[in-house]
Amino acid sequence: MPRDELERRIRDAVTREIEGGRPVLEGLEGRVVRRLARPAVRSPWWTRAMASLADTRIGLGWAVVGGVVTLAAGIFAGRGLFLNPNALSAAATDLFTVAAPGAKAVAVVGDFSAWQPIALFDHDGDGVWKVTVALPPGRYEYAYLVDGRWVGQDPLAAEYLRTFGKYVSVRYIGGDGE
Amino acid sequence: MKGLLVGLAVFAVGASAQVPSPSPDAVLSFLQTMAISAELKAAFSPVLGAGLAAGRATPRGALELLQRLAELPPPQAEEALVVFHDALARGIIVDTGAASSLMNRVLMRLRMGSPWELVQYELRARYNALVATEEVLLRYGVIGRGSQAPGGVVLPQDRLVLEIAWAVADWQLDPQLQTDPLEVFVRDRLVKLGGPVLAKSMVDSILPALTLGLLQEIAGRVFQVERR
Repeated sequence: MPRDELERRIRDAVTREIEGGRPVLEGLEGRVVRRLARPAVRSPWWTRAMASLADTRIGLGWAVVGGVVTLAAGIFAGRGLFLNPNALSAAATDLFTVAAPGAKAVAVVGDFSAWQPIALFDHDGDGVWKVTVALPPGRYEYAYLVDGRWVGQDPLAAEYLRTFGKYVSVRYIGGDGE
Repeated sequence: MKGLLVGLAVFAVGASAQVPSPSPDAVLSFLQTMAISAELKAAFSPVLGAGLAAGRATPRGALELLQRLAELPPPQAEEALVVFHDALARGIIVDTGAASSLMNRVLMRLRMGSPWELVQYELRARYNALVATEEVLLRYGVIGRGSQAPGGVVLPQDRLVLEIAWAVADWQLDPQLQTDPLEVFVRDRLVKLGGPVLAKSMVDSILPALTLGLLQEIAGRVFQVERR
């Protein structure tokens, strides 16, 4: 049975019980009982949601904390969209992805970031970490840092270089090397 | 409701905020704060400023490099900066934001945690390759004389010199690459770069000139002790 129908039947039963057989209530008590017995006017859900948001009152301190957190979240999201400030005019974006199940932090470092780490994310928890980086055409050397460990051989790389005992991966963006 | 709108606005402001690229002045200002000799600062500052203005280095790469070098003992930082000074003074491109870049190479080695001796060894080898490539190509008549100065206009041949030198040094420094003959490796690299990085017409015209003798002459100077 629908909830509204159930509420209507209960109110009808209460009304019948009050109006039949019981002594007539007078004054404030009577008005309260009669108001309770009347069907309530339910506002639509969106009106109730708006009202609850409008009624929310928080202290100044919490408002500042919330603002800072929201701003930080925005900056974080923005960096995810525009990871390479030098490459904002680039026509191409390139996906860096690495399987690292159980890793706590994965980053890619390369020429495109002046070898500063760019975080990869595993949003769905399947152990495959990803990030998309805007890259102008060129030849790029890079490696992954999996929990701080250097991983220089990316299966998706065009080439590998090994100098002085460590590998780096190479990608060509644009041109015949793509 | 107002709170929700304000929250969304704050989020949007944060999301649209970019990491600003530093200005050349910021790079030069940072150089002045480094614990290196006043003489080197005085010599390097105008060269770096001119190189940044001409596009032989990028402010972001240069500032990142200086910040990393500032964390090292001053003698090591000075050792590296002398090489960058000499390269820029010759009109060599030291930072492209891509792989073929002296600045990026030092940043990569420092990120790897390589010992300083190795960082310096590779920096010298790459510099030697760049100087040798320019001199050999010029002598063979493959390129004309460029600006040879940090502030001169960057010519397409400057990038060509950089990419040939980088390929030769890669081949020299990675024994695994030596399964291919030197000239095959260098030609293959240039063909891959043809298009967005190097003009295809330039690559096509340069390939016949890249003889084994010419490339071996460059390769032979990569590990030479520099004459300064």
